[in-house]
Amino acid sequence: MTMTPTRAAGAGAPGTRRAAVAPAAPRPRPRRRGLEAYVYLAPAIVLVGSFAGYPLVRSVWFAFNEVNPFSGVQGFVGVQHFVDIVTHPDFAQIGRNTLVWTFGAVALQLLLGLVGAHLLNARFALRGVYRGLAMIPWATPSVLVALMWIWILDPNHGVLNGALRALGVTDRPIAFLSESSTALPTLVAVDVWQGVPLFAVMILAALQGVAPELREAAAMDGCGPVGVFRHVVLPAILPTILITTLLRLIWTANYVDLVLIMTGGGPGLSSTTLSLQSYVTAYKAMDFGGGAAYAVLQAAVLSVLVVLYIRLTAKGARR
Amino acid sequence: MNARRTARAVALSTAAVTLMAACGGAAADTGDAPTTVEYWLWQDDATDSTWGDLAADFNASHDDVQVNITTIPLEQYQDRLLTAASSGTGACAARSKDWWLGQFAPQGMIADITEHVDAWDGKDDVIESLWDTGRLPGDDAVYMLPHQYVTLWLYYNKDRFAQAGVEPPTTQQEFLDAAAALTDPAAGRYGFDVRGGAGGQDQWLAWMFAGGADVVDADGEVALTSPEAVAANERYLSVVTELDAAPPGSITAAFAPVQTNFAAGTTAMMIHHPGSLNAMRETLGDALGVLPIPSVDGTEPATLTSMSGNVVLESCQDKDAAFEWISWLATEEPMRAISTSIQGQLPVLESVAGAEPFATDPDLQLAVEAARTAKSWPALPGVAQLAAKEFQTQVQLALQGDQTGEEMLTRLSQLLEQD
Repeated sequence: MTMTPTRAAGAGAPGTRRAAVAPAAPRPRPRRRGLEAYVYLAPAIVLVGSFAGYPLVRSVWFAFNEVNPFSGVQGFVGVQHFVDIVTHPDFAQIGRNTLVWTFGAVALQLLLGLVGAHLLNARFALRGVYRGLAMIPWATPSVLVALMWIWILDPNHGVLNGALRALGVTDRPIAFLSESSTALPTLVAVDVWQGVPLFAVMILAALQGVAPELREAAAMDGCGPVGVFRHVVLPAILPTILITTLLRLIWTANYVDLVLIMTGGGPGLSSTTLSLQSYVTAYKAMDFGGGAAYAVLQAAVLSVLVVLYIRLTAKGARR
Repeated sequence: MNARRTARAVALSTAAVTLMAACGGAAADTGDAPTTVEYWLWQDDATDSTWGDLAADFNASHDDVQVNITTIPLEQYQDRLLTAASSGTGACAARSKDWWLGQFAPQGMIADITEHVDAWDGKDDVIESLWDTGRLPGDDAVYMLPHQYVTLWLYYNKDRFAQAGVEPPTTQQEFLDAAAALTDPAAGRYGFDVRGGAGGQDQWLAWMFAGGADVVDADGEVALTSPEAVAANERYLSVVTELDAAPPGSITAAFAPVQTNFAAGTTAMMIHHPGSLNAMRETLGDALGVLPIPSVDGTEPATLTSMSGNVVLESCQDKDAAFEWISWLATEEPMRAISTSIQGQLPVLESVAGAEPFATDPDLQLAVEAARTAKSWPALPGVAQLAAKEFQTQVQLALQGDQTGEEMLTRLSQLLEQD
């Protein structure tokens, strides 16, 4: 509000004091400032354009063409790749798997992350150590996570099956990664194990920003623990939850390492996701056009989440 | 301003040099400097120093050509080679599997080395039947210089067989009977791992060949749905679908759990190649036995041979230098060194195959002899995709009972029939 008169003056708005002193004088300074901003932004624009923009545009172009990785674009095919994908008999299952994988994993991460954040926010001995240890799954490389869980889940020599049999829970080993009914849920569980710490730490940071006085005031006004959480804590941590959830949805949808290493998309197609299918189509079938079409299709869906993310962060910046 | 100009010139020069270096790939040096051949490979055992020693020997004995080797894990190898080749960077010569040729050669990724091979004086020492592993079906051109190969056989645990009172099988029916007799789920004992995960297509095809099937017929047409192929495939699938003689997890198992299960006595039989021989001898000692893959009636043995050879990339600027390196690898001393290393593969040279230890170790003799009648994956464009994903998907669906064996073979045939 306080800037408005100044801007009006700068633009030579009639009726202001500055306008009366120098009504027609050119004002190059804002323009120079604008140019300066572009100069400062140039390295970032060049880098993003080179390493993100160009590959993105190229991928989109590939999706509408027949592409040979050695001799390049062979011919424009329009939307044929997309038609082939959505009319393929496997598409429904792959799409369903992608939804279960993405929303299942992120929903559970959010729920458990919320619980974990409250636990880590409580006062107890060695709290700092526990907070550090809690980040280990998130900090562990995905390949290592996949190999570790393959060993744990091995039906014949893995520790989990050994424990289940020793406890009498089952008398025959469970092949978690080799049954259609358990492969995808198992992958979701492993991804949840890996992703919960991020949610917990993000929410913990937001929780620490909630003033104790507000909680006390709400409690004095008659709110119970649930009421304090609902009316004081939740509104305060909601922006963090929303932004973290959106980011995790995008990352998880694009996350291919665990699936590729642990099940390869099997058994059959029971754990094949769109991102895995994109990789296999491009690099194993050497069909870069088809692979790009899978990626573009997924990117189009995810762009809705990206728009939401941008709106949320822009709102936060305005505040 | 001068300082700015100087900084700009330095920046431009740096960028130009960087670009030139990045685009150079396999370098053809000028002047009297030796040409450096960038060579990419994977190693079955990455701890083995033999490849590094060979490169050092080559560099010490050659003034005009030097080699720089880069080892890449097999899981990433095909992707990285493909990406590098498509951008004209990376390797000048590279290790390749025979079944990648059907994808690489028609795309123009690898060079036709027929003229180099014809002019090479070591050509006649290569086992004659193995040259076909470097050619495309119906094409006389050579795209890959054979180097190291394996033939698949059947490992079996003599102790487990003795305990169950079962004789080692020579026919596929005897194999199935043995698998059933050796299975006791309550004791955690099973007959055989079907390996429906990564790499499982090789042991399956060895079984199919031994069962009288073929991938392509004499006319070069895909023949995976022939009556012989359907019958052999049904026998293979029946280990899981009828006999329940495979351990849990077998339908998605890759090599590591298959080998672990056999070494631990969880399974009594395993199809693999001599690469596992030393490790299994150390683990099982005298209890280890090897047999040809059981055939339909015990006669006419057949199996799969899988070749790891060397190719020259089309983008290579000095193909003569690249061929000098890969042909040196296929001479007697380097061949003996790599064949007797822990990589555990077989030599393609008659001179090495006819000497110690290959001529005296009965198990290795079995593998070398098998190579004379063994068949390989035909170099069709679809084989790489089949091996990378489609075989796993289709065999897993069939093993789960979600499709018939015939449907599985039809899907695989359709893939192989694509151009």
